[in-house]
Amino acid sequence: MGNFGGSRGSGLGNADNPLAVLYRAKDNVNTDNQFFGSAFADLNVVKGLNLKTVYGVRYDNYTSINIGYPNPERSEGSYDNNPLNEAQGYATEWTWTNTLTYKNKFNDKHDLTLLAGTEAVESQGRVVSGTGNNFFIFGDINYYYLSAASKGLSSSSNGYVSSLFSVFARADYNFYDKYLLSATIRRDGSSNFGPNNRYGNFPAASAAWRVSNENFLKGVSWINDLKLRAGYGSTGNQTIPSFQFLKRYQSAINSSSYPIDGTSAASGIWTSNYDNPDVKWEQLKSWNLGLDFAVASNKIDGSFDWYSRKTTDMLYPVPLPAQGVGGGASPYVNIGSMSNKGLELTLNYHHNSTAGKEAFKFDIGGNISRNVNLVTELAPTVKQQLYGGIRSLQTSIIVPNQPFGAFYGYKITGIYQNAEDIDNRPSYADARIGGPVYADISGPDGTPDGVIDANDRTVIGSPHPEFIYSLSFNTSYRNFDLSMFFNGSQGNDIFDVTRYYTDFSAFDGAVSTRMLDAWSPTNTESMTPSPYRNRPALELQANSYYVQDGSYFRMKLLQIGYSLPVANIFKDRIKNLRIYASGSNLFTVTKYSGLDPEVTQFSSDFTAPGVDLGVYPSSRQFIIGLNATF
Amino acid sequence: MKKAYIILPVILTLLILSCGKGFLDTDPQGVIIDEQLKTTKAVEASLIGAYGILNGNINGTWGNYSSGPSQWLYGEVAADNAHKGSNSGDQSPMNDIELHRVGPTNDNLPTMWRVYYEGIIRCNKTLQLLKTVQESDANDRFSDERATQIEAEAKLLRGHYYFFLKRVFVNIPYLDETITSTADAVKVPNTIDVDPMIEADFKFAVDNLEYTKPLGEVGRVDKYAAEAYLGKLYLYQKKYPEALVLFKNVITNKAPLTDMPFQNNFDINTENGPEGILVAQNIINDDGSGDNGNVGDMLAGLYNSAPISCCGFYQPSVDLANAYKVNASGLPLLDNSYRTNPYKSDLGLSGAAKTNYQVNKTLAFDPRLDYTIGRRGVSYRDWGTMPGDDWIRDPAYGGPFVAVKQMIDKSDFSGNTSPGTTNITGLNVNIIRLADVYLMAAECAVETNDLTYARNRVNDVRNRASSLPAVTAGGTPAAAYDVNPYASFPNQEYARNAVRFERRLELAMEGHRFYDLVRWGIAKTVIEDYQDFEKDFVSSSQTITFEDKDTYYPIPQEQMDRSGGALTQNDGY
Repeated sequence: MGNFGGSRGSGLGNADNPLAVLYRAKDNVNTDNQFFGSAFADLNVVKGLNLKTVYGVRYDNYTSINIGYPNPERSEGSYDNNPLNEAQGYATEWTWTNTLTYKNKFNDKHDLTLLAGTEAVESQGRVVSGTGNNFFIFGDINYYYLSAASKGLSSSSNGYVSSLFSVFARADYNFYDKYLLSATIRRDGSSNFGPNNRYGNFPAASAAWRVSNENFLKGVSWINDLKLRAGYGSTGNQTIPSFQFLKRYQSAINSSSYPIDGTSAASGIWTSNYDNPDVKWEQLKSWNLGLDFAVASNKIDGSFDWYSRKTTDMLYPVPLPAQGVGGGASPYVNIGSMSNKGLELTLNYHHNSTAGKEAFKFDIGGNISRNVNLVTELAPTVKQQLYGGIRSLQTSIIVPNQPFGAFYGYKITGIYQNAEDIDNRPSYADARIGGPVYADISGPDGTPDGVIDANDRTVIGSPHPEFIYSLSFNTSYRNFDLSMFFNGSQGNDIFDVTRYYTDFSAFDGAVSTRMLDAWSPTNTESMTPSPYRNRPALELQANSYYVQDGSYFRMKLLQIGYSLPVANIFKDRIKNLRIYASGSNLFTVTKYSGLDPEVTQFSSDFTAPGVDLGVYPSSRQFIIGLNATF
Repeated sequence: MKKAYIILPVILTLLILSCGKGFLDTDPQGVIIDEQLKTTKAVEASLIGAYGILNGNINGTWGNYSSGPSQWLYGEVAADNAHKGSNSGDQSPMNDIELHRVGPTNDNLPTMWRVYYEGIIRCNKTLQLLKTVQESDANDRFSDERATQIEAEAKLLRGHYYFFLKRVFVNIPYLDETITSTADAVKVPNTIDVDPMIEADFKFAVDNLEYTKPLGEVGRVDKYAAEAYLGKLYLYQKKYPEALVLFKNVITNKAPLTDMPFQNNFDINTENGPEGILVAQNIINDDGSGDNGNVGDMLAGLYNSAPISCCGFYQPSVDLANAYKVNASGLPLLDNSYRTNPYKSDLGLSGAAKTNYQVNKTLAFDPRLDYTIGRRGVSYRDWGTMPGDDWIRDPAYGGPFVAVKQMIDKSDFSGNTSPGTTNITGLNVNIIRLADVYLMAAECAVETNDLTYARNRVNDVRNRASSLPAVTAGGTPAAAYDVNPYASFPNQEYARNAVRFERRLELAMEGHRFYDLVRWGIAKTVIEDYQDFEKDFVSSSQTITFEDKDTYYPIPQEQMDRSGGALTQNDGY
């Protein structure tokens, strides 16, 4: 029964064999050819005044072939499913920028640049794809063409057109490289918004003061460079699917057809996409203050930054109730505001002793940053937004005064030890001995009511770290060199969705060894609910058992090199010949039990940060290499 | 020369500035917008779209189980006729429906809710477009006759979709064609009773449809469907005399039921026969995709080496199988004594006893048993002899039986099953069929104390069953088949029991049972009793307490969360 599964194991469920998944992908081919280029004309009108026009084109042509193979090791696997999916598409974009620049230096002190311009961008793409199933010859890549499929032939194509238009102006002023001022204003228009909200205005300004160039610091020899920066800027985001401001209808065989004559599908129409006529630009307004410095003969340098960013009118596809949109797509709305405030500190130390032949160099660098994220308010139509749906779980929430994408569910406070425990503590229908006790947070009246229901869901974790940091170390001695890089994250939580399968046994399949220590009448201290298939549905909901501390410290890279003394051997024809060995992802210090604490994010309707679906973990790599410079 | 260089970009820049608005006015790709829908063609297409939800599916295949027009999950698994089947871990929220401990987060609830609101939206859109087209002064308009007919078709469909939602959720928001903005639609609360509006829609359809199908197309709804459905609504409201008039209209205008073979209702070659009153049309698309097929029942594909092998859901209960037992007069055992010494196929046997199991062909059964339930040793359609556990995923969990009505013959597989997903078939699903109308009429007659009329209708159904060809086991009839008409209904209580029992036997596994038990007010007794009996045979059943709130379902939490407070949760949840 297949070369991977052996015989279909009892209780192994509907999971693919991971090795088989890799093997079955062997004939998949994806190619993507990108071509880009630009032409420009630059005209010097009068001294200092330039008129420039740039026309750039990007053309992207892509093809893909995917061949599916039978997967009989699954409990619902198939012996004869053998589809070919083939797609060809292109994407093209042109950008045309016109700028008028005036640049002059007055009295050798005042450096002034003024710029005004327009920019137009048009993007367009189209893709055609086809599917066919059941091929007479199995597994021969040379035979897989759609016309050779004997069943299940279907084809589809789709495309997009969108455009952007901007007018902008900018002024830069520089006095003696001591005072730097810059101001920008731009007005951007996007075809993604309706006629009333098409344009957004985005000003920005920044100033810098190179204190080290001031006379009063000239005599301070230990300060090599000192610069203070301050800035304010606003930018717009319009990256949403097109035409959210219009209701759109589809005539599609799979969604709106009906065999009205009993034998063949008559085509109908349905409302596939709903409208938000008021959708407008999302804006990011940010303030920042910064300091760059280099001291002690440039041995120590670094920077310090403080910022406060406010995102307003965040674009989000709030799922509307079915009474409004049925099975159609809900439009993007401007859901609310979010703030990010933070600090960043970078420090480097450079040592370079060139004394004698024993050249010894090293650099140590560190970076630490803290960001505090908070959703500050939501639009009046949205109280809170649960998202990150996987099967019966909803992992994350957007709600005022909590971080974006905070984990949301029931908080486990214990395990029901006996029947009296169920009677005496807050409980829910069909609560069982060995099942989780959820905290009674609230009730219909806003106060705890002894009953566990949807009112008792609360924030059970945050995917945002308290701080993240990195360390780097590079050194060389004689012909040897060594570099190391570490990074880490502290104080973030991870929602480990894989426990839905491995600990809560939502489906047949392998379970975690954690279940060996699950609650039982003889293991009453355990906080792991006892495994029980006939559990009430509430136990499968998002709860704090899924959430863990995701802090980690990881050695990302270690590299050791040796430069061969080649100068004399190849008579300078080879300037440098270096062999090296490197290892990446060598060790990780973490308490997180999932595959990899460096969880990327899960995108369902929207980005759900820190939700671990069991993605392929970072691999550990060892490389031995040779660098040659001619 | 230099001047030309200056002028060219300046002109082009001005060009873009001046036509900036036009440049950003791009056209949507591959979709239709409102301005393109003001045609009669669009109205007809929107109506087809509205019909498209009759199969309980918007698009896609997997996942639309609870919204299937057969209502197998809420209508049968929740009652005493069937088990979810498969194994305990598969689709475990369905176990909660079987055991009546459903919470608002049960993932079968939003599917039902979403699909039928989509149907309602399509009906409303059709009515809106119809109004726009008829009120425009363009030449492209419908005749008044067709316009009224379209309105009636859309309203009947809308009434059906609301009826399905109301039965499951009771308190549901009502939206009609007067609500046009998305923003307004999402604010409608679920605080008013939708029955009067369903009634108005059905009445409009009764008054404006004919007994012939609109445009001569077999999939459309006609006056039979309108009368039967309005009658059914009245029956649910216990307005028996009003309902009976409508059912009698249908019965007298149709050919006699006894002329229509029972098995034709479950045969893809004879679907859309005269017995169909409201039928969800299913086909496999030309490209082999299954979206317009019977996706609601796809999990009921059998298991392992069965010719259509999938997931092994929807297994008839031991109780149902035994309900088909008949006494010496060929009548059912109305006092539930059929549970004594129950027939349970090869369940619980092991070793040689299991291997050598032979079906006992001397047992006296109503012949509809083997057209409803597949059992070991007996021919299953034209698939061959049903081998027992080999076609069942977990017999200890779901029992020894498999369902028959929603499968198709092996000889019909070609073109009627989806390649790669053969458990999706093109078999239609009966939402209302004539035998159902006969039995609803009989029920009204019992409640209005016309026991003779009631007995005649029940006997029509039974007489027809007696002409069913015997299903064989190894070449000879698989049981001592016997089904006879009632000689008399001695009193109203007896008649009521007989009609209810007949309804179970005739319509088992067609999605009526749970709703019937609820409207009869006997759901608690019957289901608790059934679970107690059934738990001795299968591990999916257990002793349960059936509460008042279990007669309906909670509003899906997902919809509560999305409604921003517009929706109120049902009592008890």
